[in-house]
Amino acid sequence: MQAWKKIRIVILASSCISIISLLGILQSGIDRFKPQNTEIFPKDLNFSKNWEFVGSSKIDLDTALQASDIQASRPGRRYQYLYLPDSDPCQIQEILSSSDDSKPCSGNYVNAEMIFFNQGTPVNSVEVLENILNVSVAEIEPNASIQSQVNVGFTMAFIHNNRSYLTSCINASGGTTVTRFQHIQNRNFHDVNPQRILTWIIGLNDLRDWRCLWTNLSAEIDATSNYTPSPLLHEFWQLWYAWWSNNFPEN
Amino acid sequence: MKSSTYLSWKSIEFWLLAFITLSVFTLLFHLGLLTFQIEAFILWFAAGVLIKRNYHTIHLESGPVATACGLILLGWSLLRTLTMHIQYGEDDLLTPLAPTFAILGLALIAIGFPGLQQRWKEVLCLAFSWIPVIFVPGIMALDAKISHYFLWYLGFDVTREGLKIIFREGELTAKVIEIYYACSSIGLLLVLLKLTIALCIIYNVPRQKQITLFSLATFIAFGLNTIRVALLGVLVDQENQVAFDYWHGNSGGQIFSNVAILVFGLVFYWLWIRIQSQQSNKNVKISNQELFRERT
Repeated sequence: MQAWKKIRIVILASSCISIISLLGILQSGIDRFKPQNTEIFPKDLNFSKNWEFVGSSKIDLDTALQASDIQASRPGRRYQYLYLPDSDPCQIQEILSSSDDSKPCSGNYVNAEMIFFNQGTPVNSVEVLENILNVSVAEIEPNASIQSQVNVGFTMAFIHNNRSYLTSCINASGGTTVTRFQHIQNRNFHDVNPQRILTWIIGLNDLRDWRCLWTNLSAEIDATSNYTPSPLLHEFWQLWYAWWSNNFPEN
Repeated sequence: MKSSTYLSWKSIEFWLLAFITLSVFTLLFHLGLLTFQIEAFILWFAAGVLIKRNYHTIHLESGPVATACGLILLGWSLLRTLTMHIQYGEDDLLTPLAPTFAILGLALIAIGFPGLQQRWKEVLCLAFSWIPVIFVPGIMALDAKISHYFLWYLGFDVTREGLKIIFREGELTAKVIEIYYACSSIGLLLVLLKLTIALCIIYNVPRQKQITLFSLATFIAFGLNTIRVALLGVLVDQENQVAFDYWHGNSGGQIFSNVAILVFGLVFYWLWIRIQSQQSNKNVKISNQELFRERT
């Protein structure tokens, strides 16, 4: 018994020292281990040969999401593409006309806004939309519809200010989601398996993978003609979703 | 035989354990996991009362198995909390339970399995003081139902759709309130349950009365929360934004939790202390100390 008492004192002393050193690690700068606040979206992105990359610009989230309590640590990006399938005469015209003040192809431009969310909570894409676009749900609700596609997921389509929109949030695995509830359901279905539960208990990762790429596609509606860009948006969406699913960003 | 390891200032184990406990709690405090709320203090007070009563039976001894289990539990909760905190902040279900697991581990290291069996009430009090509020979806549905019926009894034109309560549905001036987790009964319920545990332990309330007290705590918590939801609904209905902000915010919420604690305290006094003091007046005069000593 005496031997155990001495061993116990040694064990207690060493655990005391190790806990104090843990405290020291915490004090000395836990921020060193936090993920960096760098940009995660590339400046140019060519994802399909039918869509010509026109330009991209940063979405500053400090101002955009200021009024809400949505948090995203990395800046978003707005991409612009022009639809130029191989057989488009517009492309040939562009090449032939070399003057500087030639008008750009009055064609089908699609804007794609992307924000990467990794905050450990479900993402309400509609709320993000409200803040980025500065609209309220009541304004767009009359003509909004949530559609679901096999193998892709949910998307929300609506029209606002003469533009046609398609909004969704690409998940790390599983389909795309629009509402908070869909995101939760998706994660419950895909992430609650024994292996993840074990790594969660050990502390290597969160139980559910809440990474989500918020996407907002838009195209202008030509008021004079009867043309609605919705089919174009859907085609863009298929290719865009496929590309980002394969190149989903890590932390 | 066992007299050498009493809870005494002179033993090395006492000081080592005190340092370990202190550093564990400093660590947890820096991680932001220790919330200092009134019900936590009451549970500590209950644990303190118990320890003072049973001072002579606490032995700071534990066998190798107990020490190993305690170290594993303590180490797991601390390391896991650190790694999850670095990666994910606090949006995690197990991280707020870290203080509870840490206390259990510390108890095993300090007093071992036989000690735990003997002194489980103190450990329960201390471990429970940091149980976080776990948001149960079922409770919110129950809240919505009860509030709906309450408002309907009061004569308002209300209908319910899931977690939403709709005033004057279908008309132009219809108003909707939705119950979020911050407005559910679970907060008040946890406060009152912790209070019940503390009071039952301090006053040695027998099993039957304990059940009565727990049911009363549930009843009071749900009742007061229903009144709060109804009040907020009526304020929304009357479009009184100033009053709504007051009652919906911190001050209004605190008024309700204070009222809940007061009401429950009065109920406890009426049910238990009054009876105890009446009995003591009826029988031979017993001194106060004997009343509170634990019946062996």
